[in-house]
Amino acid sequence: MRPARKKINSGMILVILLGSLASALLVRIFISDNDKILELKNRTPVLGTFATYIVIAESESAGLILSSMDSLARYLDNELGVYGDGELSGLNMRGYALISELSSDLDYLLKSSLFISSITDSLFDPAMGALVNTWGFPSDPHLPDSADIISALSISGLDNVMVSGDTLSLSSGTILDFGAIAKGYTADRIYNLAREMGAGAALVEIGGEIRCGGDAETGRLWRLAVRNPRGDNIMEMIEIEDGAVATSGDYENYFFDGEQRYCHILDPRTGYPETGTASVTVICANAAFGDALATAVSVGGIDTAENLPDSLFNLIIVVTEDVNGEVTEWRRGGL
Amino acid sequence: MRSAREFPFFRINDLAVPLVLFFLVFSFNDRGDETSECRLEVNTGDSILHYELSVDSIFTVIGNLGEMEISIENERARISSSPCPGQDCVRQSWLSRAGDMAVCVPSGVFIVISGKDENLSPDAVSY
Repeated sequence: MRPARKKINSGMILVILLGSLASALLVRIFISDNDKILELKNRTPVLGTFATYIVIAESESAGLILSSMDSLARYLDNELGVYGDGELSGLNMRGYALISELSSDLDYLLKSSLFISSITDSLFDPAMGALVNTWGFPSDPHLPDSADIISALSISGLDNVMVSGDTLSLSSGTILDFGAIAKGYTADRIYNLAREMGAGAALVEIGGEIRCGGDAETGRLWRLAVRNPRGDNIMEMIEIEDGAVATSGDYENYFFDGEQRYCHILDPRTGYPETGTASVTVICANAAFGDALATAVSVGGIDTAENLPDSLFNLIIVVTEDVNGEVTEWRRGGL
Repeated sequence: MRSAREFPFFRINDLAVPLVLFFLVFSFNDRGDETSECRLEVNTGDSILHYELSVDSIFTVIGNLGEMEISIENERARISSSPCPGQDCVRQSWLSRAGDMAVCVPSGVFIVISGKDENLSPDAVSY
């Protein structure tokens, strides 16, 4: 016997409609709150400049990762700062330290700086703090007396940093200043922290030094702009999945004395600001090396860029400006 | 002869209405995520602000050096005043297309057009 078929009345239709609506909403909420991959972005002042953090991670962990990144930036800002009560400041004040007791951060910065210095004919030099102070960068830049420059130069440079056994010592008045590599290094450290905490992809930009990347599932192509050193527009748009972009330019901090323009990038050979290089952009694997190489090439120009080992970078873009104001772009490598 | 039905009170066609509703809910919710118009994104250092390009306006943001004025007019935007010494950002022409950007490095402020071609906007600027 065929069972009797129930008629679906209007009440049942309403129940089905409401049930469907409720189930759809529940599924939607479940996806949104539990399984959704979020992309969070934050921009905040740190290391005397601004930082941008982008995190792509599961919704339940993305916020914690973002705040942990910011905390690490502030910790490194204090520990690696020339002034304050951090580790580097203490070393500068004491004038010595036991190498075995250095933090892994300072140890890495020291060794990396020595390496970059060795391959750039000492054009990258982290012991220039006394000279930087003489010029008053960044807060009170001015043209010092030539005698003051000579005096500051005599206590600046890695020649004034001695290693004997386990002891690192500085000449009297010598100041270690990792400002030309610390932003890139901090970007690397924060990026690595984000990935270790479970971010599928992340981007860290600190004062224009960028480190980004991601896994095969979550990662994406990052679009990174490079500023035109002689205008406020974009000179180059770079797309990379993983890597670092660092730029050093004479427009970041400068002053005029009469007609002469003086930028914050000091030449360790002369004690005076570099001239002729408007900007250097380095695209490579990590931001610390990119940051330091960009500074060295800013001082040494194309000659220095031509002699760098291929293994250290993917692409270098050097923008020069001659005495007549003519701007020229030079490149080595590719993406 | 028709075969016996396993679910006598239910026909496959009865799923049509719930399924339509189900997809309607999803498509309705997704529509809110799409960007229908170009917008101006203003990165001031401690915040990211968004403005509709379709509404003419002049507003002030605080950068490293103090107040900056940003103008929106005829679906274009520009930095109209800045306390920076170089004034390069002020001299730059109007921004109108997705991806167009103006940067004031001394102020730590940059503005960028985002919108339909949001993929053209950079994730970060190296400077």
